Formats: sequence, C-alpha cells, structure tokens
Amino acid sequence: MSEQPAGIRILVALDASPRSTAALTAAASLASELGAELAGLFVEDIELQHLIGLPFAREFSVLSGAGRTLSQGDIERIWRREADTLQRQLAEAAGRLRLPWSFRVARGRVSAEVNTQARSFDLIVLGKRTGIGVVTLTQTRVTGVHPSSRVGPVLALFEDASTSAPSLELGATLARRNGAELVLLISAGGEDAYRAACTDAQTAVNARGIRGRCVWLSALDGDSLIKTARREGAGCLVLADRERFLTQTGFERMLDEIECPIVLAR
Amino acid sequence: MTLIPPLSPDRLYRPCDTGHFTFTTTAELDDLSEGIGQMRAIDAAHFGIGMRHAGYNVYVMGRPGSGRRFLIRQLLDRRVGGEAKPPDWCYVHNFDQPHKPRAIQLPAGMGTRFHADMQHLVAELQATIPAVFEGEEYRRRLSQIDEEYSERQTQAFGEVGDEAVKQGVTLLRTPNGFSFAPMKKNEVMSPDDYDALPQEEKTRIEQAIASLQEQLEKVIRQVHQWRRERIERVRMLNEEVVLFAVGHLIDDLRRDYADFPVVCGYLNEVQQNVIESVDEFRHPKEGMSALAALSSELPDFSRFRVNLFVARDGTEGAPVVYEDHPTYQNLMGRVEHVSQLGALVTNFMLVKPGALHQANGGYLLLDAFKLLSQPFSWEGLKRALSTREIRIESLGQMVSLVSTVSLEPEPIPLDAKVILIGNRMLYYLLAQYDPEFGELFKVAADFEDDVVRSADNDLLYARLVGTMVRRDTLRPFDRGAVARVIEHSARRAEDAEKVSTHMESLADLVREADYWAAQETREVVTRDDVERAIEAQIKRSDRLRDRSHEAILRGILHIDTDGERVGQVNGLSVFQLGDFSFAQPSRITANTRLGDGELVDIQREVKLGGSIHSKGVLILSSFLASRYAAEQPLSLAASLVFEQTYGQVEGDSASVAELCALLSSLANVPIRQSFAVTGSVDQFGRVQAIGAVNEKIEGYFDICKQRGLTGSQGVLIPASNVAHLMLRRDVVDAAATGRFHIYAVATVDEALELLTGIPVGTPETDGSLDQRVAQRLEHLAELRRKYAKKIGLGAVGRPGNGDE
Repeated sequence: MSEQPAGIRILVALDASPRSTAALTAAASLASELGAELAGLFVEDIELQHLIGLPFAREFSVLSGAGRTLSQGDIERIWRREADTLQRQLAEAAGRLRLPWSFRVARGRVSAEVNTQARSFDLIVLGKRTGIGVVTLTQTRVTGVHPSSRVGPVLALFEDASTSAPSLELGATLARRNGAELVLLISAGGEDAYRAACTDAQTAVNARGIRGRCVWLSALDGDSLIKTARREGAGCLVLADRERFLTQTGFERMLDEIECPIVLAR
Repeated sequence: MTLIPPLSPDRLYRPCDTGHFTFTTTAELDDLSEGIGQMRAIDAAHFGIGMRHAGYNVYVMGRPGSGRRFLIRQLLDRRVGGEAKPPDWCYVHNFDQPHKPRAIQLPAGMGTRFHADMQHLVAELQATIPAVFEGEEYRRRLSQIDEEYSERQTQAFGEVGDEAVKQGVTLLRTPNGFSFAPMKKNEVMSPDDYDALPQEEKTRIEQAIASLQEQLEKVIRQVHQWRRERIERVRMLNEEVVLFAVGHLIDDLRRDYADFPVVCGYLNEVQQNVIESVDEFRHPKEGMSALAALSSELPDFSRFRVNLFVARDGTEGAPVVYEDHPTYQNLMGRVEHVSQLGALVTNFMLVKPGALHQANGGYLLLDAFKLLSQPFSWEGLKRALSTREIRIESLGQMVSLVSTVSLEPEPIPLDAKVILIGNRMLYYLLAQYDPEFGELFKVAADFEDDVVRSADNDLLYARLVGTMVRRDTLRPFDRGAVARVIEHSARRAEDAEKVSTHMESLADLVREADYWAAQETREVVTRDDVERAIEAQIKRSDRLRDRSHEAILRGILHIDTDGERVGQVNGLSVFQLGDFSFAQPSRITANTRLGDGELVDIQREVKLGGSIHSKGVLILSSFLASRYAAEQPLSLAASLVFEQTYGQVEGDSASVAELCALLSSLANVPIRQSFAVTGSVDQFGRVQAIGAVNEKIEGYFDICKQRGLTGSQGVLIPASNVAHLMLRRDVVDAAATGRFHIYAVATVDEALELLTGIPVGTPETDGSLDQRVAQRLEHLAELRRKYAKKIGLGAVGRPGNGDE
C-alpha cells in the first residue's frame, strides 16, 4: 500500500465532510510541490464510542430534527464506510500525482490523536472536526445555497518575519498552484504596526512570485480567525507555530467552525 | 372530266413582307416587354395579381418555353417596386413553452436591429452580472445576511448548549446529527462511569437530556425556517442586484420598442428569466454538459437571442420569389437539428424559413409540375393558402411517423400571392379532380401558342428579336434576317397565317444565327445566317430521317413513285423525335373480296392501330356503305394495311388514302404511284385538315427528288390545309418550275380523279369509277346469292332462311 517514505511527511486528518475533500486536495498539492509523503488519518471519535454505550443515546437528525436510537453496529458501519472511502480518495489523489502515501485509522479524541501524530510530520492539514461542543448548521447545510466555482483565497497568518516564514511559504505555494488569491492575515496591535507588518509580508511573498492582499487581524484568537475566514470565504487557512495552536484553548472550536482546511506548519 | 390544277407557288409559302419594316437593323428598335399577342393572359395576370382577396392566386398556363415565366416576372418586377416592403419576422424563445418559439413581426429593417440589440444585451449581461456579484457591496450584504443567520443559529444552539452545560451535559456531533451526553472532566462520560452514578443522579441526567432533546428539536425546526428565510432574502438581494445591473439596459430597449407591445412583453419575460437564471450568468458553464447536450437546454444564453427569420434589408418593394425546387421543406420552412454527442437536438435558432416565408407580403412563383412532383408540397401549399398562415411542421410529424418532441414554431400569417406556372393539361386535371384548386386559384392566365401574322405583329416580332439581341449581347438583325425568323416562326406554328410564340426556340434561333454571322465575320445578322442556323438545326437532328429515306431509296421499304397499281396508294406518316419531326411515305394497300360487309383494319387487328386511326377506318367504311350499298347488303370483305410498318399507327390523316386504295381495289382501277395522299375523310366524302402538312409534303418530295423529279409527281392535301403551307425553298422552286405539284382537294372524288385519271361520276355514268364500283358490288352480291343457295343459307347468312 505504502510507497517508500519521502523526506518530508504531511499528515492529513480526514472525515466525510466537504472540507475534508478540500483538505485532501490542499495536502496533495503541497505534497506534490514539496515531494512529500502523504499520510491520511481517520480518527474514530472516542466520544461517540462513549455516547453509544449510554442507555439514552439518541441522534437528532439535522434534516428533520427527529431522534433515533444509536447502536454500536451503526457507528461501526459508518466508520468502516467512511474509512474505506477516504482511503480510496487518498490513494487516487496520491496516484494521480505519483506520491507515496499511507493511511491509518485511530480511535480517540481528534485533537489528541493529531497532537500525538504531529511530532512525526512536517505539516498537518486538518479537514476534520473534533465532534464536540456547540456547532451551527451553517457549516453543514447552507453552503450549498449559492454554489460557487470561485476558488476561495488562501489565508496565511503573518505575525513576524521569523515565525511566519513557513505560513507565507506554504500559503504562496497553495495560492499559486490553485490559482487562488493570497490573503495575508496581519496580526498587529495598531495601525502603524499593521502597515509595517503588511509591507514585510508582501515583500516576503513578492519574492516568491505572488502578490498578497493584507487583512488586519485585530486579535489573534479563535473568534477573530473564524470571523475573518468566513468573511473572506476562505479556501484554506495556513498557520505556523502549530504547537501553540494545537494546545491553545478554543482550537477545537476553531477547527469545527472554520469551513476550510487548516494547514499547520512548524 | 376537269382535273383540279396544282397550287401556284405563291400559295406554298407566305414570305414576310419587309416593305413595312422601317428599320435597318434591330438595334434601332425599342425593347418589347409585354410579349406578342398575349393580352388575354397578361390582363388575367394583372387582374389576379391586383386582387388582394383570398383565393385569387394565379395559374399561368401555356406551352413550356412560351416565355410565360419571363413575362410574368417582368410584369411583377414592374409592379412590386411601388408596393410596400413587407415586415421582418423573428423567432424568439418562448419562456413559458420552450417547444413553441414565438414569432414577432416588426417593420422592415427593424428585425435586424432587434437581432443586434438582443445580441448586444446578452453580451452586456454576461459582462455586467458577474462584475456586480463580485463587487464589494454585494459581498458585504450577502455576508450580513449570512452572519445574521449564523448568529441566530449560534445563539439558538448556544442556548441549548449552555442549558446542557448547566445540567452537566454536552451537545455532541454525530455522523448524521446531534446528541446529548453527560460530561465528566470535559469529556463524554464513559458508560462505566455512568453506571457507577447513583440512581437519583442517573434519573436527573436522563430527565435533563429528555428536556434538552425537546429544546434541540425545536431549534433544528427553527433553523430550517431561518434557512428558508435566508434563501428568500438572498434571492431578493440577487434580484435587486440584477435589476440594478441590467434593468436600465432592458429599460432602454423597452423605450426603443415602445410601439411594439409584443416586443415589450417579450423583454419583460427576458428580464424575469435573467433574474431567475442569474447563477448561470455568474458562473457560466465551461462547456456543454453531456446531459445538457441531450436535453433541449440552449447553450450560451441563446434563449435571449433572436432568430432573424425573414429580413427585408437591402430589398425594395414587395418580394418576388421563384422556388426552383419546391420540396415541402423548401416551401414551408424547416426545423433543423444539430448532432451533439450522437443525438440530434434543436432549438428555436434552428428554425429556417421556406419560400412562402420569403415571399410573404409579395409573390411566389412555382412550377406546377415540380410542385406536384414533390411529396406533400401541394397539400402543404393548399393548407397554407386556405388557413392563410404558414405552419412549420416536420414531415415525420405531419404523417405521424415520428412522435419525438420537436419544436412547434408559432405560425406566421400568410399574405402572399402564389403564381403557378404549368401546362394546360395539369390545369384542367387539377380543376377536374381537386375540389380546392378552383377555390385557391381563381385566375387562369392562358398564354397563346401562336398569334396572327400581321404587319403590326411582324413589327412586334422584330422588337422581340431586338430585345433578345440586346439581352444576350448579340449582333443586330437586319430586316431580311428578321423576316426569315418570322417565316420560320410561322412554319413552327404550322400555319402561314400565324407565328409561334414559343420564346425558347426563338431565342435559340436568334443566338445560333448570331453564331453563324460571327463565323462569317459579319457585324449584322442576315437572312443567310438565319437560314444557315435553321439548316444546321435540322442537320443536327435528321439522322433518323436520312436512315429512313435511305431504306426507301435502297428498295428495302417499297415505295413506288411512278407507274400505276390497283389497290395501292402512297400515304404519308409523320415521326416526332423530340423537337424535330419528319415524314416519310407509307405504302397503303387494300384488298377486296366476297364477304358480308366487314372491313378489316389489319393495323387494329394486331393492336398496332390507335383509336383515332380505327375511327378513320370505320368512317370510310360508313362512307362506302352509304354511297354504294344504301339499300342492299354490302357483299364485300375488305382489308386495309400500312405495309412495312412495325410500330403504332395513330391518327386519321391516312383515311383519304385508305379510301382511295379501297375503291381502286373494288373498281379494279389502278392508282398513279407518282402521287402521295394525306387527309382525313368524313362520312360524306369531304376531305378534312390534318397536321404537319409541310413535313408530309417535304417527306415525299425528298424521296422523289432523290429518285429524280419527273414533273408528274405530287402530293394531294386537304384544301383546308393550304393556309398552313410554309414549305421549304426547294419544294417551292420545284413547284414553280413544274417539276413537283401540290393539289388541294376538298372531296375524296377530286382525289380519286387525280389518282386514277378517270371521272368518279355516278353508277349510271359509263366508264366512271362509281359505275365500276357498282358493277363490282353487284357482281359480289350475285356471287353471294349463288353461294348461299349452294350451301343452303339465307341471303342474310342465317342457316335455313332460304328467302330467295
């Protein structure tokens, strides 16, 4: 199944959502550009495992609001089908680009599994929700109302030149490969700082042969990133200094509420 | 006995008198546009064309090549310049019923403008709509709607979530929806931990979750309602944006076409459809999908385009259309198809006009024979004329062979005058057998085949020649040449007192005479050139005549041109080979014997005689009986035959010759073989006119001439045919010098006296032909009586009658 491992390894966390498909595309693009190995991860959510063991476990349909009893068999079948589908998609995407690939199924909490795997990988592309907490239907149902063939912009977070070099690099690569706009999310406290940081960021991406549009990010927290990503109709969000985000409070909510894949660089 | 004299040479050919020609060459003459002697037909055509009421269509009849079409076309061309230009017609998409394209009528020239305007509008829409939707304002307003919607959801779910947290429960995402589970240290409580809880706690949790589930159900239902509201708000936003972007463009068009309510109505529908299909403009398809290709979906916004069906740009007055190939579809229009992915698809842009559409508001000329030869064309034309509308239907649908979904374009009102050009037979057949014909073609314009020769008509003929000369850029004709053309036309008309109106043969002769003049490097065409052209025409066609004459001269076909024979006479037969006809003598023989009055026509017995020929034979039988056996049975059996003929014999022009041969045989009086006879006879012995008299005389003359003219040879023709004589120069010359003679006979008696040299007289006149006939008949009757007595039969042939 797996090809000879390459020097660079990309982990892509997948599920059956449209965002997961976008994440796979982004990961495959990056892997092709970097000559990297693509490693798929499907996490069987332990929280669901716990849920179905409870006597009152019921699932309420998004479509009708009607409830039905959940069984262990139902969940096992769903997980198996999703895992098979995702493995096939990964194999096809990697095959098209002649990339080495692997696929793994784990059971646990999504964030914990990603954190555990993160050390072995250079890049992490998240196309999966964590599954817990309050979520809205916007993310699951409404996007189809106005289908858009427009490629959403690639959002790359810029804090300072040294920390954000990987996010600019990856953002520029993804934007160029997909013919998308590059939006530089400038995290700055004041207007002067924003202008200076914007100039630095644009200079950096210009050197990589692409132009970037700056957007001021007034606060570097989950809510601010979620709002900006929605407003821009983001196609992809690239963040550097991944350990910070992975351990940050509210990251799971951010992961749930941002519709596009999130690329985490070191 | 006084024999009738031969015709004088001046009665054998009527030359054209050039004395009343005031021109030197035809270059001095004005063009002739109205034809010669066709006033009846022209007046009828004028009437038919001028009557605008339904059913007053025109059938123009006459012989092919008579110039009917040319004259009608000329008449129309003169008329249509002053008539109003008919409207343009366009087909547009029918948004309510896409399979029924709508027809729009616009004043001449406006159709092209409308077509261009709509094309421009589509281009504007394609450019403007995506730009507006990409704009910051639209995105901001859409974002506001989304955020509002999102906030309401978040708040609603948040309230459920907060309530859950208060109860120590979390809202959990599942593969197809949501669920609730009790929490322990920020994680879903495991079943083991739950089992370890006290019963009261379990009950509390289950009650809390049951309550939360009710709240969640309400929220989910509420969210669906909000989603519908959001969709409606987005739709209204899109409509507002589209109206802002394109409303002024369509308003401009509405203003331009304010006088045309149909166009304004159509523009309203276009605006509505643009709003409804705004996504198509925002995200145009890269290419046609396979599914779309197989459906009736129109590519590339074609539904907003205009099919400029009939445009009158660059034309003046009413249209005159001649459809040379009147197939059903060429006449009525068609719906074409294009092949896409192996399937045939169509749309309103592929509706194509027919000749009726092109001629609508004007005139359509059709060849009747061609029209009737094409399947369904005649029925289609009649239907259109009856209903006064042009309905485009595929032939397959019309005859119910196919029932696939196709287009049914809205019918277009028909206001065209149809002019059928055909021969007389078709006209009378249609009038007899098609009850609708008379209702739809009320006017017949009957073109004459010939006109009277007069000084005025000769001059008109000269102008006609001049017109043809100018039209074809030929050399002018001098007076002699024109005269020879007129004389030849008289010969074509088979009448010295008429000239043919057959324009095609006249034009051929004029062009060929010009050719021969060119060969002689003459600037002006002369009589000699016309003469040479006529000779060359004959020469090119007379191979069979030469072979026929050769067979006679070599004695293969027995034709005597001197001496005398009993019961044998030279008749004359005409052969028609295309446009060329010639005659040759035929040996007619008769045999008489004892019988009971029967006359056997051997040609008829072997089915080589036509009905008219048989009629002639029966008439002479009647003549014989009435003259010689009015009061007693005719104890005669006779047989007649055209010797050495192997094909059909038709016509009664040999009945005089047959009667002469029969009486010669009966009277045992020889007939001079130096004569040939033509003419038909009635029951009283009067000789009647026949056709092709010139060819017949010339056919016998040619044989005599080649054997050597003796001065005793000649042809007997009906006196009523003298007016038709336009004989060849050499025949006239031979007659003038007494080497050949033409006799005009009015009765069979005059013919018999010329042929036998003895008077016909009466049965009582000694030595007369009638006396000899009577004696022979008496002798035969006597023989019959003796024979009957001998075998015991009655005089009338009934056994055992024995009345003697």
